[in-house]
Amino acid sequence: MILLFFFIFSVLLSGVTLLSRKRAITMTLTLVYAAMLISLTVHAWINRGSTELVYFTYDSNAVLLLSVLAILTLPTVYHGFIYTSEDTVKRFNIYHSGLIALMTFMAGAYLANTMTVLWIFVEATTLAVAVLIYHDRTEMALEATWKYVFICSTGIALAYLGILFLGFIYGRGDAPNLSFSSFGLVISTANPLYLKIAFIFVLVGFSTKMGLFPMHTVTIDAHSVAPPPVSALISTTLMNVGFLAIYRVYSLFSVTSVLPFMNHVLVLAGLLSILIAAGYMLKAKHLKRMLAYSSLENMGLVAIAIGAGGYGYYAALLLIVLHSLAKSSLFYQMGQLSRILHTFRLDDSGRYMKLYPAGAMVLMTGMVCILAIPPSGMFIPELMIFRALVQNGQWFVLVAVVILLSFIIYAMSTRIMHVNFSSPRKEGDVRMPGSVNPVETVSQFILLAIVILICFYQPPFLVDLISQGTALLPR
Amino acid sequence: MMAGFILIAVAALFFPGLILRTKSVASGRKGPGLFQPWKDIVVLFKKGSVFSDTAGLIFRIAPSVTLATVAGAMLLLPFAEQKAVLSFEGDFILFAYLLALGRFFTIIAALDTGSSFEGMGASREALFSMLVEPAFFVLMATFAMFTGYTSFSVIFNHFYITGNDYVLIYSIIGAYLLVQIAMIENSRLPVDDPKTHLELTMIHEVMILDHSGFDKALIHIGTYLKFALYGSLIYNLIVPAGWNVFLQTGLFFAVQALFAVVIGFAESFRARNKMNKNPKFILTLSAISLIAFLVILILTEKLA
Amino acid sequence: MVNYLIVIFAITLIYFASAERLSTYIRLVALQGLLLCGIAVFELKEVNLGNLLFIVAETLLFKTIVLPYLLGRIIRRSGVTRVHHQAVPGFYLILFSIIGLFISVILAMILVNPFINTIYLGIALFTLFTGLLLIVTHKLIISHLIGFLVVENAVFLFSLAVGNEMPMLINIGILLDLFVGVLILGFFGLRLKPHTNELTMLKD
Repeated sequence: MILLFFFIFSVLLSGVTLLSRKRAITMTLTLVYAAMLISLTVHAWINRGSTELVYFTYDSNAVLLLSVLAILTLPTVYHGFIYTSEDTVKRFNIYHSGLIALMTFMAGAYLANTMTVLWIFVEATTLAVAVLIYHDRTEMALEATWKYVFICSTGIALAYLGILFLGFIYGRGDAPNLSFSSFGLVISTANPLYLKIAFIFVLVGFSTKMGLFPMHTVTIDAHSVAPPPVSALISTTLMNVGFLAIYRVYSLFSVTSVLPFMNHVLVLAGLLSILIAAGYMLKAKHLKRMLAYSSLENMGLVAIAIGAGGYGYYAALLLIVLHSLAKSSLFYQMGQLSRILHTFRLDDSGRYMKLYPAGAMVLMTGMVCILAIPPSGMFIPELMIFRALVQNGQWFVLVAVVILLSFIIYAMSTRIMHVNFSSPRKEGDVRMPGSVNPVETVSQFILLAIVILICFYQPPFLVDLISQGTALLPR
Repeated sequence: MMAGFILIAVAALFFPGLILRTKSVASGRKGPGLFQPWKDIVVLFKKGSVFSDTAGLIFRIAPSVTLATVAGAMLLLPFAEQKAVLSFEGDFILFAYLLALGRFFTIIAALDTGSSFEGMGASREALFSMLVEPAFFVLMATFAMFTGYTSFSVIFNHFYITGNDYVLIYSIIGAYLLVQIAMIENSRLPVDDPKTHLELTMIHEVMILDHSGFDKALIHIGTYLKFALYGSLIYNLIVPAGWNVFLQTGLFFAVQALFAVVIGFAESFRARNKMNKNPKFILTLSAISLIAFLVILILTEKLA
Repeated sequence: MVNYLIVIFAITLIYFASAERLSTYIRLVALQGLLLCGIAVFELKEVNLGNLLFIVAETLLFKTIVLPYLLGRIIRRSGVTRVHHQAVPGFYLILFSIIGLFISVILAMILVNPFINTIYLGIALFTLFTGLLLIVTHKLIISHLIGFLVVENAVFLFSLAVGNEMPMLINIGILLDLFVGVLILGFFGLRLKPHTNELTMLKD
């Protein structure tokens, strides 16, 4: 029942936000929504394993990712208020209405237990994100929005083809039910060729959302153009939606004979993603684009983790969670950086430490966290991935990944150090740098602190949750 | 046995005149008589030939070779239920390559003259025939696959147009393809305009530009016979082989006449393609022949 | 009867690769919608009447009438030149189309399955291939949109192959049409120019 109320109220809130006349009303409604989302998460924690409304289940993976979404809700809303504070009321309303819709659809996608419902919610998120990307109304934003909607639609169509191939397995006369649990019963008798084709279609289709190799270009453009709070959300939680879709199909097929094939495909896709991320990051001149490539690299690592198996399964889920926390704080910081330096271009930025020490500290800490340099928590899952690769004897992959990761460490750290400490390369039209209240960085520091904490102490409830999520996968 | 050969020769008498007449009537004129092209050939026979100093042996023998190959191809086509004069397994390959041999000799004769215009036309002609070859072969191969035999005579004995849906579709596609292939092989619109006088735009006409007198007459006879040859192929596709012989003779001339009229009308209402659209146009034919192949695959149960 | 429709459908796909004007594309898309409606009517005999009516109405109205009309309005309003720009010469398009037909037929023969009609599988794969080819080889975004419509038709054909047992899948696939509607609205609402082929501003 609570889920039904949640969905109905979210839709209502999203609609009413569009109609409100004053900023204060919109802000209150958004905060009400945030409270609803957090209470839904608590409800999900309490009722783990149960199914509501036939199509939604609170299984471990869903609860994990939903908690990440809940943690990120308040900072996103807070930074969103600050970012849109100078807009007209109408744009303010559209932004927040879209934000509410996006978070609702993501929650629905996390909780869905049927392939088709998952697909519908993912399709809906594309529309919500398009509204948000176009917030700035510049020509670059228009281009990014069009590309995003178009390529995501094509990806969604391909993913639907994959679902249809899954449907073909059933044959005549059965009452088909595309829920994941009932699939498990028929999967062992299915033709492996069909399973392979279905997996490839699903991978290519959902790679538009997850930002993995075949269709990663659209996410790169979208993340670099969207408003920073929105970027923070879509670069983390939306990629998690794509990941969850692929992961569910993977775990469904992992009991059949196509497991080695899927592992090879995932490792290949992951390796190519990291390669592309490294190559492009070395020439990136736009700070948000650099962060987008970093997301691409982390998703590639996650794909390799799943493809490696063994320790990799645990590492993948942990990496996704920590990446969400670290990347979002960096993106929030980007929002403040734009208000102080008035630009995202690398050539025009510099001396950030002098201008805004709190923000510069966030950048430094965030850089350490996202590059998986200890004491960052992301070091643990990466170490586990390397261990899994060694266990499998995949030496070439290991060496390639390590070399590419060092390229990425070099690229990112030089850029962030440059922004913090050197003077700008082009001392062009020097606008007066703005000033930001350092209190706004508190949320970012909290998120980064959580990431660093995980490096030293992993709370048992987290370990339990993740282990439950990977329980069905072959060891 | 010789019935097919004789019928094709007789049809060739009427063919070019009918095309010319149709085109004239479509343009609103009365047009020349039905036998005018052959009267022109008789005139040409009476003239002498002029050979250039730079042309060698090939230039002199090419027209005869062309006519000989066309006549040889005529020997391979059957009529009604009789076998053709020459009939053996895989003779449709011989058919295609006899015609290709004739074209080859025309091309090298064009190169032999040393004229750059003729060389240009020769290279274009070579490209277009190369592109049309897959279409023809796929079509013939589907015939062979469908009936299970590989000789013209035997294939057409066993091909019935009224089988089921798929055979009908296949015959329609096949007839359309053969008409198009015939128009391309004989250098007609929209690939090549036989009436153009600008050498830069000629393809086939420019290759035979330097021949005169007796040789020119031979080339023209070869062209007319080729038309009737393709008409006979189309006739064999459309009309089942088992019908009454006299009915078939009548139908033969009717189909040839209809073919000529169709060509005449198609030429009148069409403009010539831009030169760089031609490869695309011809390749489309190969694509359509692949569809015919697909239809036959479905038909013979090799594809569900 | 269905066989005729399927063969004509395959011929329209080849025509896509050889057509030159955008208005021809739009007419082909309308024809494909009509053919799909016919195939749905003849093929889905075991689906209940209400569902069948919905599918037929949606295909007929949306794919055959509304979408081509909207696309035509876009073209006329923006004055896009009637010859569409492509990045690859037309000759290679047909060549790829032929190769695609080959590959789809071979794949369909490999993937043979007693429960699905193999012909549908082959033609649907060919449709998918043609749609992707259109998207990849053309530069104008209106051509991309038409390519996406063709991919959608492929999805529809695929879902028809199992449509008798799972009509729900066809209904959900129709949701994809909704997406196309949104994309087209983008043209009108955001004043996108269909001959925008300089979508290259986002660089490093």
